[in-house]
Amino acid sequence: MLPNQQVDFRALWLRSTLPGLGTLALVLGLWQWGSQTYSRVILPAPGEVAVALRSLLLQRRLWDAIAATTVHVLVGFTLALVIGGLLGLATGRQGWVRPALNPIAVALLGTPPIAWLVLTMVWFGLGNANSIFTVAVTVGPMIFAGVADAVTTVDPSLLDVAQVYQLSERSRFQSLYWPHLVSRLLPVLVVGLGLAWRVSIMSEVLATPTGIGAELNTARANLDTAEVMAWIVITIGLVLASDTLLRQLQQRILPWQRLANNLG
Amino acid sequence: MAQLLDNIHHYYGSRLILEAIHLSADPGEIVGLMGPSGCGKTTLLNIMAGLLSPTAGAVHTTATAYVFQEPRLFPWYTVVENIALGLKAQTMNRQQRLQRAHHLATTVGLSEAVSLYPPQLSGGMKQRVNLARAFAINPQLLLLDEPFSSLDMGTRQQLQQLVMTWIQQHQATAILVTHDLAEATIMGDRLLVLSQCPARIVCRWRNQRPSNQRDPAYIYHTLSELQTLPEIAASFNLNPVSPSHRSLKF
Repeated sequence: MLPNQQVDFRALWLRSTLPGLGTLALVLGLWQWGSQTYSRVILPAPGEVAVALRSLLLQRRLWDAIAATTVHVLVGFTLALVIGGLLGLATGRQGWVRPALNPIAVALLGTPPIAWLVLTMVWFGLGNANSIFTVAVTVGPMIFAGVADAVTTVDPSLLDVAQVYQLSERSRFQSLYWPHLVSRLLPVLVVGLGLAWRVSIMSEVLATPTGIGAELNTARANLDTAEVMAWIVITIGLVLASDTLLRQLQQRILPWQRLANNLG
Repeated sequence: MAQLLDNIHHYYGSRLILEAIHLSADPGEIVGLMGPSGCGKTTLLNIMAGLLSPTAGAVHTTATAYVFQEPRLFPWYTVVENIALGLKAQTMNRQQRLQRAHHLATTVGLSEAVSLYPPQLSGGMKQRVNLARAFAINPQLLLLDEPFSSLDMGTRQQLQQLVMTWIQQHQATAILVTHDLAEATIMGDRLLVLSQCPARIVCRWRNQRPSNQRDPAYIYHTLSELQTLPEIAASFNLNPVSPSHRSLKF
């Protein structure tokens, strides 16, 4: 942005936010109208969902469920990051690693998470291991592919610069490989973490006795549709919060990338 | 006179592209290197920079810096951090490196831009960073691969002057690859012309005036003189324009 360019931030904010708010109001209106047409079990009114949400916010089980899901997500995601990341890094070191692992990565990426759930129920019974494993096995190949792409796309013209200026192995890693890796990987992590939340909750619905998914399942069994919807709202909030957090982190770590995007 | 290249031969596969190249230069001297496109000028610079080993012959270069044709800046580093890059190989702590880089940023006219990132810089500013990064390591040999070819005339003149002053002050040697005969005449104390592939040195020319006495009239006169040299004409496929060529017949 040019320094002498006057920007009316309020107008900009209104223009970017108003249409979204309008859509939201429209959906809420349709929802309200629909709730008057159908029974409470099928479509409870927005107000009922708000009441259910408020009542949940005052209960301990909400925080227990959030804690359980967060543990599933973080443990599964960390496993995916460590295993996928290390194997991805290995592709940069040894030429044969990528062709050797690619068929597995492709197969894993193509397997729907629900298929893993069926298997994990057989393997682990019902428990936390289901969610953790399903998250790790779904997100891991994504991270592997991201890291493998990053290590093989280091700009060779910058490698020449590093060689001309006789950078040591360590300096080369610090000033070239690492920043490149981080810049390529952070967007993958943002997407991967969003996926991890959704996969974990799905597996909790079917095969894990704790977490938001398990609570969703209980509310469904009680035919308490308002509470089901309240849990969905909570889930959306959580995913948005983790996404925003990572994106903030990305902007802080990679200020140059935002500049590059802004300038086209 | 220090010998830089001794009887260099280089093959790409079975194709000979550099043949018997000898190159010596004095401290404080800028040697222009010209030749047809694709004749191996950049290959020769890469050999001098240690990026490429020649098939045969000896390379005697130390403390070499390379100003690439494209700036090749690290996108995640600010201007000063980019300038300080080469200092990482020297025994200096981070603060000393950045201090020196700041000083050089001022020298090349970037004192206002030290904390900008490459995407925020214009082409001319990027090339200034490229130069400052090379100056930073105090090289004895400065390799310049058409560094000014994409710049506007004003910036080009400034940067040419900057390089000439720096080479004079530091008594370093510069090898300047250029397509521009005028640039070679303005900057070069000597000029070497390479032939079509395989490249041999077919013409050695010495500038008659020191760099501070090359005024426009002298440049103009020298240019027209150089263009009539048969080796240069042959090397660049310059055809003498005869009257019959001037009128097109349909």
